[in-house]
Amino acid sequence: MNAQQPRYSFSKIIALLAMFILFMPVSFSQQYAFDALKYSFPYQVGTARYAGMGGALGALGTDVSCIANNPAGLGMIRNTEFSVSPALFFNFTESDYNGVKYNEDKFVFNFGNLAAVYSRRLNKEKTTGIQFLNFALSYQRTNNFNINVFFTGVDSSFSMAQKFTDVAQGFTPNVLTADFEQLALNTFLIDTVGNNTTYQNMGLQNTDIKGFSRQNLNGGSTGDILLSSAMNYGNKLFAGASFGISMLNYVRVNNYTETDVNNLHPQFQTLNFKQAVDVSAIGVNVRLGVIYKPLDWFRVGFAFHTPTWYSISEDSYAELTTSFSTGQYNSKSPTRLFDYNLTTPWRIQGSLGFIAIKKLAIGIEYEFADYTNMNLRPSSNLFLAENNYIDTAFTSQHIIRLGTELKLDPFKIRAGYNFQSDPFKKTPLLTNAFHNISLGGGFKIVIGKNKKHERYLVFDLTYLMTLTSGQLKANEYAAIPRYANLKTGMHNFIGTIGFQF
Amino acid sequence: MQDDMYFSEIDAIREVREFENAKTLARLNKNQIDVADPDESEKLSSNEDYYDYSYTSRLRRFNKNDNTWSYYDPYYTNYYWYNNSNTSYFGNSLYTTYTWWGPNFSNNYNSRYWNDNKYNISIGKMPYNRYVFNGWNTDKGYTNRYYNSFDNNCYSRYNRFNHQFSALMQKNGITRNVFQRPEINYTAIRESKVTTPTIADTSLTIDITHMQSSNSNRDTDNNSSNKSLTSNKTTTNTTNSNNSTTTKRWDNHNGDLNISPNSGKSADNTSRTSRSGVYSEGSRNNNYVYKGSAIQNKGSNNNGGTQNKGKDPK
Repeated sequence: MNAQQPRYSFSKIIALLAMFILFMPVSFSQQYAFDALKYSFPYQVGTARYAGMGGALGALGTDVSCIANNPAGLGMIRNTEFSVSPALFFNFTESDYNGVKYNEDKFVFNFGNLAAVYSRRLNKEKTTGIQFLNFALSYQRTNNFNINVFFTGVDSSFSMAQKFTDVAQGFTPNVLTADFEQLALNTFLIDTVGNNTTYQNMGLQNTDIKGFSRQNLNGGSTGDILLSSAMNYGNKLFAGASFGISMLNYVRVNNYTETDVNNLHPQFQTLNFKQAVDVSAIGVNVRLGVIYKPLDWFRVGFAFHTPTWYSISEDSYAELTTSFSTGQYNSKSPTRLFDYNLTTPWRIQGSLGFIAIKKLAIGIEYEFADYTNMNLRPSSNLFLAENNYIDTAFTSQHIIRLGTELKLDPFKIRAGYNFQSDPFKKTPLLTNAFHNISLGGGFKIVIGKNKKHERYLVFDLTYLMTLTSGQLKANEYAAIPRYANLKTGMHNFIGTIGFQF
Repeated sequence: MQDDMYFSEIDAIREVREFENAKTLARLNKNQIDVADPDESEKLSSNEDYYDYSYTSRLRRFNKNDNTWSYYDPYYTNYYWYNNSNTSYFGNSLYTTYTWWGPNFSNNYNSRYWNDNKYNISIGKMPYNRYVFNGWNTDKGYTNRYYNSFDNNCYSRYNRFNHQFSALMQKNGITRNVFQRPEINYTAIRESKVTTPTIADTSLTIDITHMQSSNSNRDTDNNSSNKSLTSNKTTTNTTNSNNSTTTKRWDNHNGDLNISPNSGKSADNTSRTSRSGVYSEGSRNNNYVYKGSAIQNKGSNNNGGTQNKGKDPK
């Protein structure tokens, strides 16, 4: 963790606002609502071609990543093919708290897409009727949670030790919350006085000047295993369906440290409060799509995504370590297991595709999702507050994708842009938007020939940049929160190697 | 280079045409194989439209430039003209080798004509069966045989024991007791453009059993027989002064099998010979002369000339 100048200048960057992955709840009870938003928000990388064209392949089809957006695009594929799309992900986050800046980075290697397509030609003798019936098995990465944040500062308005003390007041030690104030009692940060329901703060007070640090570590992703099928009818009408099995894994660790930097307390020195969450989930969804190509140069597509019905399993624990002049103490809570269900919002997509002189492809896509349709279950009592918050705080989201490809055999050049509006209510459309910019290229060569047609090797490479910014609370338990400003750049290098038979 | 995203309607049409062309080419290549390799033709017999030497026979008909013989003339349909590897093929029609007739024919003709069962073979998939062969228009007999009123390389419709060709031979005085196929120079006859002589007495029995397989004795024996013929019958023989044995392109046989049906009319034009099933040999000593039978004069079997060109009996 280095306090240094940022690695790049953001002066030329436009519209850098809220980072979805750092949505922080106003209250603890809203944590699950924000988690639901995190799990529902799309950040698809896919193949290099898909990412290079901004994901605007809903009407153009012919790429295996289309299966996750518009399955009808699978019907436009005319070769059996196999492809793998490894990706390198770099995340650079700069935090700024009261002028003090820190940089955190994270590097992850993953696969944006793995796919195998079997294309079966049913009709060779005429151009009408069912031409192809295609099947595919693919994996598509749909979100990326990898980001680290760190910042430090000096505060004299909030103390974690005082918070533990305030929460414990009036309760006997045996009923204290195991992963919160119980830990403070166990590590002598608070102690009973007079009777066993009154506690005193053995650490720093809210108004004591203290140094603090906040570290937020996030990792994990979501991905879909898709079983898809699509047909080509007369090279005019394409229809497809995908059955998806969604897999989610997410790990979050928060470390909050308070230090008596001025040696105000005779015994207390430091405390470190760690909260860890490990989430795994599996869900199912269905995607339906259709593409109509009335003319060689024009096509229109439509897709519908059902909600993903997740079954979530969450393991969490907390750990408190205190340091006094008399010694160091540590207490860790038991791991809390909590299972619940989440329904993400349904989505609809409409797309247009244009082909000019068989060399230039342009794709335009619009996607709509209403995040008030998210639902945490069981909804009675347990998630009542969260579901009410979802209905009141969130709104619909608009996604616009633009992409183009220039074909200069055997090479191709691609560019794309992706805009996602902020899902929070009472926010103007262009505020807190999410921007992706991509640039890529590739080539396709003939590597052989079988009885039917030529065999191809496809190689594509794309650079995808995502720029966001936002704020992170120094401590979510503070009555008057203080924020650190964050600027994040996510850089993806996606490559695709494919074989077409 | 094909890219599915840029696939157009023109590309689809081109793909269909390429497929059709490839299909046609494959069919043509398959037909060419039977010309080069008779064994290969047997392997291709799984195609129900295929019969042995279908392509070669088409070439033969196409290349024939004087309209001498009718469509089903044995010149075109006699299996032996295409494959002389076994004399048993003689007199069997190409059309009996359609695969959809299942068990192919056996050379019943030969067994009946030559009176020698050892020549019975089956061309095709079925083993030897003396009486079983394919056909339609079955008669009252217990066999199902090939019959084509235009093709004399088959048995009589009404008498299963009467092969059309053998019937013609018999009516012209050639018995069944023949152990060797007569050597007839049809090419010479045709080229001489000599009309077919008639034989007044159809009861003439010509014993050719003395004919030997040895070539050294052939000429002598043939001369003797001819002398016999000449001495007993009033026969108008057409002397073919031209003993040419020029090999024509359809004569893919050995030198002594230079045979083709003649095409001429009778000298007096009174007894018009059929252009099918009538083999009128020249006056060479090793040739036999016989006239067409009355069968040709019957309407059902009148296949004179190319005007009555029939179709493949599919």
